[in-house]
Amino acid sequence: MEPTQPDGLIERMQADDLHAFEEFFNTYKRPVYMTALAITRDPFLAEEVLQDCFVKAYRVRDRLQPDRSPLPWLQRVAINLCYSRFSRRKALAEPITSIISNLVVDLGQRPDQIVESREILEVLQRGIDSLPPKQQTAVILYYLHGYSLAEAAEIAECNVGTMKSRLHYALKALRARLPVERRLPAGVPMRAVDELR
Amino acid sequence: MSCARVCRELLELSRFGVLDVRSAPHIEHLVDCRACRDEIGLDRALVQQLRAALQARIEGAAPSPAAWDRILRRTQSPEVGLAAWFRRRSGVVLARLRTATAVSATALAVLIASGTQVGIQQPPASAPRVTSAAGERFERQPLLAEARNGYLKIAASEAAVPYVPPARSSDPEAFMIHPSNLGLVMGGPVAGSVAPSGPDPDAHIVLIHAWVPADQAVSNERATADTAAASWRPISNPTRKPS
Repeated sequence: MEPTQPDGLIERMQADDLHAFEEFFNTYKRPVYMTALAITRDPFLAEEVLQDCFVKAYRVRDRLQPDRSPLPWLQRVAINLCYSRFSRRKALAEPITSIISNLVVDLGQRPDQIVESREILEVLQRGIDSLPPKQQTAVILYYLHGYSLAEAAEIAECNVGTMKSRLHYALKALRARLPVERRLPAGVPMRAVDELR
Repeated sequence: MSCARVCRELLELSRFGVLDVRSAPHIEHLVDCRACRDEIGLDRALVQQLRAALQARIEGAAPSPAAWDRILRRTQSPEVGLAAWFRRRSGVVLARLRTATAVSATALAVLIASGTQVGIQQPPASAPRVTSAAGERFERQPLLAEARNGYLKIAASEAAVPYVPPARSSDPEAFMIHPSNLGLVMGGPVAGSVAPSGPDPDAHIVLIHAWVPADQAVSNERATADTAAASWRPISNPTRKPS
């Protein structure tokens, strides 16, 4: 999951070796960019965050610890940069869900199922956008990047229990957004669903 | 185990853990309970869809090839802003802070080791009043001449200064006007009133008022025992001892 850091990369970077910095960038750019894009859903903004993040890493390179992976720190910086930009803009960028929905729909499905999948995906995208930043970060780190609970907690600077709790509330909130028939267990008769409507 | 509890634990296992032998009771329950099965199934489906939705957000996206050039350009240009200034100066600032902290800590340690108490000390309320001293000027205070045991206390400039000769010859000290200033006494001593000075009926003090600049009335000269209002005259020798 985590990219392998070449030996002595940080030390060489600290010795002002620009090739080492380029290698550093190429090693870690993808996960950082993924995080920024998953939060912002705006490729331009995500790239800005990526640039800021690595410029900052270069400027504080003397403080990076050679024996530790810089990725948790880079992710933390990227997440903070994303949310600080959001707070400045006061609103999220317009979702581009219609484009990305097409990418994930299984074309082998029946037309009615395709429509349903798209709808659910749309609902989930909106749901992810509306999550509080901490829960959104938790979901992205755990379910998108596949970090372990401990790793995600380290990046988010909280303990494992808090991370679990954030994920739990995020899932609860997302589930509450789904249509009623998708929320209820399959055993519940549709009559009961109709009563709820 | 209640259904709700099993369901809760199963959800946690399903989301964050691995179902293994220790989960046997949960699995048994799952086989028998359709509601829990559906609940877990729905949660897994939700997580699957969530992963798909998250993946969709980043699918096919990658930073532009120009990103590295921009980063490189920015890292090679001088920084601007307060944060940049602080980063540049942080070494110097931190070094100074370290020095200041070390010096303060050493001074504090010395004070503690020597048992020195540091603080602002107020004079006690009962502290004796200070009489006039050489060069002292009393600009604000009103006349506060106080005669006690033959002492004259002067506390005002160009004010009426009571001269208090000793009530008895045994009184050693009486007079506090500097002899060299006595010439300034306008009109010489003027007889004042006679007042008893204690339980002894023979003891008395004679108050003589004269005008003298208080800042010049600084001496601690002793008056002679036989000094009396009528025979009083300026003392020209400041070192004169009482007879």
